Amino acid sequence: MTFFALLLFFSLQAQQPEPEEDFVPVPVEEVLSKGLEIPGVRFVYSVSLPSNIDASGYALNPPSSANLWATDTLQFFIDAKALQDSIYKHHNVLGEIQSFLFDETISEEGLQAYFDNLLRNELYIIEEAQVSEDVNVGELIILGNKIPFKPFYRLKIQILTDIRMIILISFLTFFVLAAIVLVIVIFIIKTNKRNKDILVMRFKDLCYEPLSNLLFEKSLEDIQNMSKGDIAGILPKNLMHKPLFKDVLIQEIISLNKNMKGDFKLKLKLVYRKLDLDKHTIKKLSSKRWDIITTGIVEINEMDVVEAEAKVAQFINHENFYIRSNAVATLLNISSDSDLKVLADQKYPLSKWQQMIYYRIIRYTKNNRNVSFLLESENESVRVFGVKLIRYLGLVDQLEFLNNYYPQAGDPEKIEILRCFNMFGFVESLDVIYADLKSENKDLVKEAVSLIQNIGDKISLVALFELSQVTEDFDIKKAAMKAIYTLNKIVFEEYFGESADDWERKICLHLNDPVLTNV
Amino acid sequence: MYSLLFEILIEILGILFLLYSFFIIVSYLIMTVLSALEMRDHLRKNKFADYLDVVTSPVSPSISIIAPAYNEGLNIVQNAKSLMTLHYSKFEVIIVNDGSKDDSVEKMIESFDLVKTDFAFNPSIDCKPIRAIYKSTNRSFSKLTFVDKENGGKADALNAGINVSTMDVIACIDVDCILSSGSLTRMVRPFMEETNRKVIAVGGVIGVANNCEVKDGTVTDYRVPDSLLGKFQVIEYFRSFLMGRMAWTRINGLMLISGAFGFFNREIVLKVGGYFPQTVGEDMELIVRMRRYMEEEKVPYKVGFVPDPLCWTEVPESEEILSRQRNRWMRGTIETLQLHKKIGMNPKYGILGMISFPFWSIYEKNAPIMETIGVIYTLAMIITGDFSAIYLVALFVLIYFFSVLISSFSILYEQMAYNNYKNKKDLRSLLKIVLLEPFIIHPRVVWWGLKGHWDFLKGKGGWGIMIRSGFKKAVDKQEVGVTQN
Amino acid sequence: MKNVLIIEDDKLISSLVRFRLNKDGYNVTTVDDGLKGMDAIDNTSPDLIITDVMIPFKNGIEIINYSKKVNPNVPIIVLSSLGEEESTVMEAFSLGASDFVPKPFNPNELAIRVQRLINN
Repeated sequence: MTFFALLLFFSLQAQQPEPEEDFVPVPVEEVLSKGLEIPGVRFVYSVSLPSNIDASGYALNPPSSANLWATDTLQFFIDAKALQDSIYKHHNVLGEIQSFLFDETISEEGLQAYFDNLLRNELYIIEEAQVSEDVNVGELIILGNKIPFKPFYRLKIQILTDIRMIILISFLTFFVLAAIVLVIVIFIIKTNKRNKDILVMRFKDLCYEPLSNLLFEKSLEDIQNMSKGDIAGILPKNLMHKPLFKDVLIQEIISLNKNMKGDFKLKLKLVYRKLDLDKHTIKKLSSKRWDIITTGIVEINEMDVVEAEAKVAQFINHENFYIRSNAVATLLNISSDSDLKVLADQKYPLSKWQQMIYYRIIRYTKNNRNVSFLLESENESVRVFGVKLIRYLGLVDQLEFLNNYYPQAGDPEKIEILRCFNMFGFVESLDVIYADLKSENKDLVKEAVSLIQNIGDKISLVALFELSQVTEDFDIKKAAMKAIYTLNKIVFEEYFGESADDWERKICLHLNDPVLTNV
Repeated sequence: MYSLLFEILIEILGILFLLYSFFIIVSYLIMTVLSALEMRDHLRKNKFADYLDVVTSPVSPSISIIAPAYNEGLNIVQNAKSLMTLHYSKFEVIIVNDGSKDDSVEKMIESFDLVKTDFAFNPSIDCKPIRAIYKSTNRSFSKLTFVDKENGGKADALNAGINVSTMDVIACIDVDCILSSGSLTRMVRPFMEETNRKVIAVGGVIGVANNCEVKDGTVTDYRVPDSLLGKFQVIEYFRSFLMGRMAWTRINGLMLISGAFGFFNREIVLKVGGYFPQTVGEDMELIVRMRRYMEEEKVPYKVGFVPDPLCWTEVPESEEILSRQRNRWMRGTIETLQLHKKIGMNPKYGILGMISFPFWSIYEKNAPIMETIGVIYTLAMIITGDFSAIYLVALFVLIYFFSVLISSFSILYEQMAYNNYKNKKDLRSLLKIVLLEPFIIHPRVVWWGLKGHWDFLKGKGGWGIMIRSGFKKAVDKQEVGVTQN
Repeated sequence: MKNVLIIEDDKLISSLVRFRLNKDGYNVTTVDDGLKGMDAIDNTSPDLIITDVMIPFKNGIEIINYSKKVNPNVPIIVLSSLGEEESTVMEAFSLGASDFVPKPFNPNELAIRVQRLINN
């Protein structure tokens, strides 16, 4: 409170009205004709004289054209005036006095305004004696009292104070508003969350008894013959229309479905459909929140809502990672597409996370695993994943294709293909592989060495030895030496047994260490 | 004339303080909102993650856990064992004994049937000589590698571990940290999830383990510490992890992940030459250098952050140790900012150069100095009877309420996200600290920060000249390393 | 009446199993984490224990260990989730688990196993 009182005090200070009558205007002619100088103001007198008159005696400069004679710039008005009077007296020509303010001509009004300004800002002070000789001293004092005392720098400080005031007030307001908004938001969120948690807990407790009843007391046919009303009758009344209750119920059904086997699964799915929960699930797909859409997709996946396939398909290239990944996973799971086309059409690169999910689905649910579309995909990460699948799932019939494809494959694909060859000990000709020993890509070289280590022959030893001598990379050298060691220990001893090279000696020791061979 | 100049100077200073406080308040408000958004998204994302799958999937990256240990003989065996029981399939545990003077080596050898091996590795990062690399003859400890080296400090020990490591991701962990068994799966998730950007590092939350009940590597009962400084650090950790780092993650501007629990892409760490042992702020320096490298190479990248509670550590409750820690943090910050001053306000470095770096320079680094000047200024005004002092006092009141607001929010965050501290009494005592902190603890933190500045100026650590000149490129560190050794 | 202890963090599953076993006339106690599980082993002296492998604070293996120490004759059925490593299964058996039921499971089948173990 005191703070705001202070603020008020300050703002009153700042708003104190500016006195208007802070100077007495004085006509500029009056000052000039007294022979006083006004800073910055100069005068030029010019006159047109008949050509026969030589006016150089008058301190006038000879004319350059049109017989116009003019003075230099003069500091005092009265000098110009005197010259004008003198010319008029002798030649009967008046001429003109022009005023200049900092070398620019200025009109009479302009001059007056400028002078007023000087007076107002106390840059020009008319001395007592000069104002008027006949004003008496008493009046002057009264006049003086009308001008408030105001030192020069005081003005600036007032402005600065004002800026600071403005900043302080504006950011106080901002802070108070922001804090209030934050507190309200947090409070609302927290209350909502707590209320929701309590409700969810209650709903969960309410679910389990009816679900247990349905699962253990009723056979599949019983449930088949029940209507929606019958089943809803077992569940708590008045809750079936609540979306949150439906969500909880779906969650519980899904969780049971994951953990149960046999006809329990069928029963759960039947209950799910009989209660029209599938419609609730599909509705989620049109939500604006990504997590609700994703929840819907996950539910479709878990409960095999095949009729929603087309709707899920529109999300497979969605920009949101979770929507996209779950949509693809769902389609892999529920659609009849055994060619994994949905994967082949992926526009975004496949992350490892997605590969993990898709691999599990393909491994556990797909009987027909045709990866050929993946290998022809335009998306490199999909092709790489296709090669991985060949290795993980043991699809040996594709090795021939990989063999033909290898020379034109990119490095990430080559690495996977080599791993694949390594796994199955398959390769038609090592020549292409030798070529890759010269690659700049360290991982590719290491993978090639590892393959050669497993299926190499006598010629390989030469290639590996060459690599071990050429390479400047420790890991590659180690891999190459290990490969030689594995292929032929006698040759290895011949090559490296007496080596003086520091790295080679260390690697020899490493390879000969019995503890390390286990690792 | 003098009084005029003086007045103007005072006015300008006053306005500067106003602006400074204003921008602090605005930044923190923005951070509150950003972190709230990030936390909401994280909790939503967590609903869709099946972490069990990560353990066994052939696609998951392999992890080298590197834990440097210095005179940890008392607990080293137990700690190594608990690291090996983490839930993950492809990982190795590298314990680096950094020249301990106690019986760490003997205890390790005895407990794990270790033998010296001729393990050949590439010393691509310079570090103090390695005496021996041990492996176990017992196959159930095949995940363990024990490196015994000469003492060279934490960064140097980590570098030795990085040299020996062979996996895709390296996890640098303080050996005395308590890790939850699911921590690896959760921490590799950002590495696995990103599609278009390279994830160079992932940071995690550190919890305060003092006074908590710990059973088999998991905190079973959360209790706030008894001491004032302990409680203060609980709140501070909430603030910095749940608010600060979440907000920075939102805009991909994270510049610091905790040295006690950080995961890195090994390839990039090797490219930039590993840790820089000549700074006391090696954890921050490494991240800044890695980010700088990615910006210079123009590769899209990301520094991830996982806000799940996965790692706990004992924080120092003694004033002396805490003051040394804070002094070190301050020096580390100053040194890192010095080493990389080139990126400050440089649009070439994107968010790193235009937002993170200036923020750290203005607030984290200079806050103690600004606060001290502010207090002295106000005192001077009060003594001279100048009435602008009232402004400043008002300003301090405002900042006080603001700090209380922010701290309370961070406690609320914890309650909403994890609700680990369930005890009402604990919460009340935390709130009490929130109210008291600005008076009784904050001044000390400021003082320790000032001492950090002073020690930096004095050139404590002895690397002042080089740090002052800074790195020209992100990979400069390697050259420095070569010339120093 | 025989006592059965269920240690399982998924409340729905434990209540479902309890429902099923109640029908067979067992007295069933359910707890949702390992620590409470150990307390319950001490306090309720169960005739059979069903435990999940992945439970908060402890794992199923430790529960087996503990129970075998307290009373080596109580049979233990271990529930496990998909993706569990083989080594855990081996370890569970080596420590004296009587039976191993991988999830997803059939509650009726589980009830039969319970009956067989208790009657032995």
